[in-house]
Amino acid sequence: MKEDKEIMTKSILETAESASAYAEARLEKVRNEYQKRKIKMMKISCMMIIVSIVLVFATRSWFTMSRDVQGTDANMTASDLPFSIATKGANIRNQSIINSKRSEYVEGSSCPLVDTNNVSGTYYTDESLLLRYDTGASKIGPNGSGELSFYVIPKTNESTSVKILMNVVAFAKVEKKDASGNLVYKTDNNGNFVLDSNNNRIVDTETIEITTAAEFAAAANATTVNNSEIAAKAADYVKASDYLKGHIMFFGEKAASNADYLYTESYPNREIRKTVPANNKGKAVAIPINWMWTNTLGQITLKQADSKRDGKPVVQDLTNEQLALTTTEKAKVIKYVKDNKDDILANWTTILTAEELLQTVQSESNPDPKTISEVVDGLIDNMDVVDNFNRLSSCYNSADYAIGTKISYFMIEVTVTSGE
Amino acid sequence: MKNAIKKFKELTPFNKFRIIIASLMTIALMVSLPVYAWFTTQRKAAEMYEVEAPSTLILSAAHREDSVNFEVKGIDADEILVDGEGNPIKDSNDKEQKITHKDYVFCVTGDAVDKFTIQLAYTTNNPFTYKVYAAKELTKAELDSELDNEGFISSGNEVDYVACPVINDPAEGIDGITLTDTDSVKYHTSVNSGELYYRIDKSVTEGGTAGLYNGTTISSSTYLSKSYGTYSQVQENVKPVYWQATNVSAIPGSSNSNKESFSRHFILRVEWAAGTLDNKSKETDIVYITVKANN
Repeated sequence: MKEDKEIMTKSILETAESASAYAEARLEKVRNEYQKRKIKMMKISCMMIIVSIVLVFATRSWFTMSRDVQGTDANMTASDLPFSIATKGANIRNQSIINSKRSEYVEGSSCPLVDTNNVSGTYYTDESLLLRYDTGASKIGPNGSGELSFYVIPKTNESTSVKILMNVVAFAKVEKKDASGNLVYKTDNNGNFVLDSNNNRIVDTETIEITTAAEFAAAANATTVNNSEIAAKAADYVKASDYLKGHIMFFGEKAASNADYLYTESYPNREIRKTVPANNKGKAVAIPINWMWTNTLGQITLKQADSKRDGKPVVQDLTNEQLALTTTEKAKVIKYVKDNKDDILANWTTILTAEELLQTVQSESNPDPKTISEVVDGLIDNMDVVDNFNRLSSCYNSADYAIGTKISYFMIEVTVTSGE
Repeated sequence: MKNAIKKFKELTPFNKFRIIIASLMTIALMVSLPVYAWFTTQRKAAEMYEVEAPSTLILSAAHREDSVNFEVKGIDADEILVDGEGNPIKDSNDKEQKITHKDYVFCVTGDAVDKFTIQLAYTTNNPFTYKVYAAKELTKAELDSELDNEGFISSGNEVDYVACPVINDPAEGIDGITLTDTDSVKYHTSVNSGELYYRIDKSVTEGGTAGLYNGTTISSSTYLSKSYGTYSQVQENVKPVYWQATNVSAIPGSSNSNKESFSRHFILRVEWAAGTLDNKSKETDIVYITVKANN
């Protein structure tokens, strides 16, 4: 019996063992199932992430388009502009340089068109267009000016409104250096030095866009340029770029050649809104955009004819009755100078005399002191006073000098959108 | 939907992958099309202009001293040619020789100029010819070392150098143009007293050979009428002769595209053929030196 018992115990033990093995196997199966689901879930979430990344990339461009689509969330349908743009002329300025910096600008396809006077001509059109010119100075300095050869071709006979934004971008030409700081000279494909007409070697240069001081310094310090001296002066280059942007002003139509001023309208905000008249479908409608790098500050801010002024004023002078008006073109350009002193006048904060500075100090006799900026604005308003004229002109000319010594090229960029 | 999932499950992994990629691309395309359309609602145009450098060009006496210190004087037809020790240099017939030229140093300095033109306008009362050479500036030690290398002793008028006094502290600069003491500008900013020495810089060959500028002489009645208007009875020798060397580099060997400030020295050599100059009949001539930036 004892033996029997042993056998029973054993068999019970075995049964128990097999049950636990079964449970173990079942548990394993469930675990596997769970694992599979987990993997599936992970796969799905991975896919979701990828899809959302693709979507984010594809739609990121929405945010960069903020200017012209604000508030028009319903505007999801693809719509095209009711006009295309064109240019006309025999030549393109500095084409290779502009294309090395902005490859999107192209010559465009040529097409014969008529203008609003039904005079036919060859125009070039594309979505990103290199503007053309016929005649003009090859290099631009103070007193330089130009008219952009810019046309709009309406696609319908309805009147269309256009909005044009102008932008000025400055570039500096920086001499290249090797690792030990020596100048790098231009070589041809065979490694021989390229020589100029006097058999001198030509220093290799890099044209660098001036954006921020940090970016400019990085570009000048790059191994291909290696010009740490220029990189150290990055802030000066950015300042010169600011002056250039301040000194180049945009205007509308030119005044008659016998007028005693240059332009009929100014665009101090660098924005033009124009309505192209109806019934011009397929015609090249000229949009007059003139820019000028004014030679002297007096041409901008002197309100009335003055013997100190050299050259014609940019916009019409004021009559005695108009002096106080704020709506005149003259008032607009003077306000532009006052609002942008940092970009137009070099060192304007240091030109005040001790007496003038007293106006900025609070005292019993002067309970409401002015800021330095306000006092200088007062000088600008009274440019006919010789001393004011001399001080401010000197600031303007110093800025011109900074531009000329630092900036090698500038690009005028025009962005056109529908004006509605 | 269930069927679709079932069918999807039955596919081989490769086909599953293909379907996933295809659907993703479709979604991306659907999204990007309307977005791209927004881009086309603007047009852009651009034009690039080259900026002209505002050039500052100053003509001065040697070492950027004020131009009043530049004097073309002391031409003595009887001056004897001597060597470094002051002994006359005799010709093959054992006769003393007289000098046949005198050198005067002027300096062209400035900022942001790549190339410039040097113009001379001179009257012809004396039998002089005028030449312009590129010059280098040397300290006494540098001059001695150069002359020693050439086997000369450092004095005498036979060795071609000109000594010029340093008057002002050059550190002040002129008209705000300050220079750095580098080889490229060949200017000793730290020397502020004593004398500096100038010799023809034969390494400069941009004007022709060995520092000499081969200019062109302009003889046109157009310029004459500008000087004398309608006067026809003008004595031949007072009619100015115009000579000019174009494309003189501000910094030889560099395009100066960084628009750096620079200083270059030139030697104006007044030359005459031996025996043609006589102190008694020597007259006054006028030489104008003009420089103009090319850019």
